[in-house]
Amino acid sequence: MKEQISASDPLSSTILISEKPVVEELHSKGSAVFKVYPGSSREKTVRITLPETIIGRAGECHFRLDVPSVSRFHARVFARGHEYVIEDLGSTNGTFVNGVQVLRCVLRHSDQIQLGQAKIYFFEERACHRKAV
Amino acid sequence: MPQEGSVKDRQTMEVTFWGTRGSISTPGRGTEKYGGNTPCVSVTVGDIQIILDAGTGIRNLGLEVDGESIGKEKISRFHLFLSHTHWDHIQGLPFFQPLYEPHAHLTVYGSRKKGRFLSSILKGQMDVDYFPIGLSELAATLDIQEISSRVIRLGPVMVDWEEQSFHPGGSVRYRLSLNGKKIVYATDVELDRLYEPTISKREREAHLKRYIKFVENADILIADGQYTEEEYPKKAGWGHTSIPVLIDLALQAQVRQLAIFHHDPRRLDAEIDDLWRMGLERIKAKGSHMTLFWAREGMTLAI
Repeated sequence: MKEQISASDPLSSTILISEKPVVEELHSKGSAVFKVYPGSSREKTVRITLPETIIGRAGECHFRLDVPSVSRFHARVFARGHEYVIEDLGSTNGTFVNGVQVLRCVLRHSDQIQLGQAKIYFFEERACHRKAV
Repeated sequence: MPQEGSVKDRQTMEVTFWGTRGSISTPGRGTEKYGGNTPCVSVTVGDIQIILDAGTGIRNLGLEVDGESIGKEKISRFHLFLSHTHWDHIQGLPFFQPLYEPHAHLTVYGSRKKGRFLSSILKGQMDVDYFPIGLSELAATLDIQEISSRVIRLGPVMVDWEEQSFHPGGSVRYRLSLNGKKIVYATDVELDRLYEPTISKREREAHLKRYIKFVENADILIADGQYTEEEYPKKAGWGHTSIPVLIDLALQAQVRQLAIFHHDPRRLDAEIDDLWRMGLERIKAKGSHMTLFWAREGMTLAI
């Protein structure tokens, strides 16, 4: 499955370190999604289904970001145990997690990933245990 | 095809956080983002593996080294630099998998300023009263050295060090240099003590000059910021620095990246997120572009 964000989408410049949850939720490990906020009312959700997902501008990438500042093969996300790890693939503009340039980083719920000018959020999918606060 | 992301050359220092928590390990949902293992940081330069402290985080490093080496040439030579020998900095050592492999070789470096020899302290924590396997029964070759020379050279990496003044029992800070890049590891030191009225101006200036000179222009400073300004007065004398004091000194020393480390065991992830936000505001207010973050387990940076 390939997902594509076009260069014409204005990209969000929001920096999110954490979100204050309005409900107390228990996370269900093992499945996760990327959410891409193009800045308009439309947001895009990409479910992570492969053991390794290559992200980049090239057509061969599993998750395609057609944004000039994104390298052809920019980063990969792979499963390690019950966790997902993002790894920079020698990109020109670097891979940032919550504003810090990383070579590799275990991803956590609500992490903001920046690849070039593209901003993506990582969310672990949640179980149905919800409790209003 | 994508190129290999991992930097395995001898031009880059690959810094990985395996344990970032201070005092005691804190597993649980509330600490999983920043991590619950006690201090351990690895610095890899090609096939040279340098480890800073052996808190509980070193266990995962050992497992990674073991798992990674399947089908590859095994990294079998390790250099462990201990800041000091308080529990949270040595307790993971008996669980470091390579110690149980005959081909592995670990050199441990630590301060010679202890009342007891470093080897007897490490042997003590593996006494039969505390652990089933003794230090002398390990399959790996272990070489424990009390640092005597000012500089230790490990291939292209130069490691120099200084004793720190304000930690009960003492502690050591280390600086790793490669091709003009510098990593400073300076944990477990109570820099707030410099501003106590009992410290003379002359003494304060001497300490500050020495500290600033050591950390100046570091590409990354990994440093203890266990307490908030409000918490510090109740913990004075425990050997840890408050966050604003650390940030201000890092700014003064023109550090490029400050990784706040040795998180208080009571600190939950959401609280660290809030502290990070406030820290960024402090830096912005001072007109600096220094990168600030709270170190978290599983994060690797290329320096």
